Amino acid sequence: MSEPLLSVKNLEVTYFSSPTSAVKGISFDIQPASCLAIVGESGSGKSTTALAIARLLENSAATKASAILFEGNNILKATKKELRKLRKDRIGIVFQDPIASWNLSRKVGTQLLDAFDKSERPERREKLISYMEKVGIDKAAQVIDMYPYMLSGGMMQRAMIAGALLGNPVLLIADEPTSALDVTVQADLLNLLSELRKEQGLAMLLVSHNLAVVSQIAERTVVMYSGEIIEEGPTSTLINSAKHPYTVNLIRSMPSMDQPRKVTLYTNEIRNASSQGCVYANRCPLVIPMCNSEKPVLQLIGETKVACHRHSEVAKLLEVPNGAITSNS
Amino acid sequence: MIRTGVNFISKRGRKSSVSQKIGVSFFTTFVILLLTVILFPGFFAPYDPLELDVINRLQAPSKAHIFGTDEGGRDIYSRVLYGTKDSVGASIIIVLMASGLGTILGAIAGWFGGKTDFYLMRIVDVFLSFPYLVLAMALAASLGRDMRSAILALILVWWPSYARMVRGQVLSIKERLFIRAARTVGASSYQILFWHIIPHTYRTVGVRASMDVGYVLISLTGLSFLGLGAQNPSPEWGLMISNARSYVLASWWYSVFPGIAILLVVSLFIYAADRFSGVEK
Repeated sequence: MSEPLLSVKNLEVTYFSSPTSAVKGISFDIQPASCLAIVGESGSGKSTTALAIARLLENSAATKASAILFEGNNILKATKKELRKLRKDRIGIVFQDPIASWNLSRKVGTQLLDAFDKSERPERREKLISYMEKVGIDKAAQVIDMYPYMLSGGMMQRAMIAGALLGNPVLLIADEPTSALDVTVQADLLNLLSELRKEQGLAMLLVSHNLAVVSQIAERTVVMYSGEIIEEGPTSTLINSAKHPYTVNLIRSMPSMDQPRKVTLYTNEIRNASSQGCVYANRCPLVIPMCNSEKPVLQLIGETKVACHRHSEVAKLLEVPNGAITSNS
Repeated sequence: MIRTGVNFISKRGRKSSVSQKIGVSFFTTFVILLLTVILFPGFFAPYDPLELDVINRLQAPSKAHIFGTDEGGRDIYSRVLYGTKDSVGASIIIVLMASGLGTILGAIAGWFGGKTDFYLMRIVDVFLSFPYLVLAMALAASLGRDMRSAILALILVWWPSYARMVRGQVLSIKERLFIRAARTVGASSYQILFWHIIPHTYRTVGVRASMDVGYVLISLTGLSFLGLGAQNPSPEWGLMISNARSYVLASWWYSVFPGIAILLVVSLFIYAADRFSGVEK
């Protein structure tokens, strides 16, 4: 396997406002031109991970890690200037809420071109127009001179993606890029992202809680729960033969048209991080005494890595019908 | 692929009631009128404001002198018009300078935080801990008794409240997502400060500033009245009222007309600012 583009080692993030860590020592790699998805429920630390990689949490959280290597350099040791250059040229970021991501009082084009030198701007502007056309914005030459409030949510998100691609990044961090949009626009944007990925050899870190989205574009998937990675593997393997009870429940909770399923509702709280044992123990249907006393470590089982004491029995016990989850492509 | 058409919601958030619209157009007309008088007083005034005509001293209002004349026989109507520049013009300049200075320093304090914030805000505290008119008098007196020092003194007294207000605004604006988004496209700290943060304070600062023109006018004419601002024979309104004190019983018109001018301008600015603040909410 070649050198990974991004390698996160033992990342730990603690918000100043909270006593417990939001992300507890996770590690993963992203290969060049591949797509890694992070899935999990709200509060599982997936967005925090994405933001911490781009070092956007400086003012609100303490970030610790052995290393975050991007193209061989440690992002955590980058100076302000290097960081600016990195964000401008190498890493593109798209946020969840397209409307809040725009400064409504500044024109679309000016806002995206701010970071470039005056001499560079005319050329970049042409490029931005062509990117905007590529992401499906009609009359891009006019839209570039409009104010963001004149655009719809979908268009704002498209323009944001065009802006993120402007510096020719090799890594795109997409923090739930489609969750604020309606379903037709979602599908559209996902196709667009896959196309762009193939065309430009762009690697992607996709943060999502939507498994349908993930199965459509991600090659590998990381499942997070309460700030820890509980399962990781190739997306299709992970979805079709999940080994962790949480992943199984996550997949099962996806509503389907043809097979109405009963969704498990949790009434008990997410376990406190400081307690011993498995973080999922108090919600797990397969809990055994060992789960409460000993923390399962992430181990490689076949193609996937899983952190569960009973991984070998999960499929049988939960009776996962093979291929029950169909991706909606 | 579905192509998103250019559908505008161009007037989102811009609904304003009829009375607010009247308020704004009223304000605009009023400011334009004032600016015209400030720039071209000779166009409206029938007499020279400084020309003495001692034979006609302290004349009651008549057809020739509609506001009457002062102790030197000068036409009060012409003097009030020429005085607009000294009183209102100077007030506008004071407010522009004070709000500009306050906005920049307040934004720097809020944006950079830490020590910068601490020291700037302690300076602001020092200024705000004095009654503003007392401080303005002390500053104006120590800078020398003329119009320029009165203006400078009022700028120094007025900027801290803007700095405090803008700092608070910046603290909330800098947490908004578009600031993070601007970072991700690689904008520098100064770019974000001047292009993304300061423009978002314009509205609050604008409303405050338009109201402050009235208050500054009262202070400035007050300083002149006390002899710390404009000096004779300048047609500044506060100075005119100050001169009129000796004749207040015999010649009511001498103090009343400059007084009405002050009252009118101050109340109109405050009323207009009040209307202004209701728009776009």
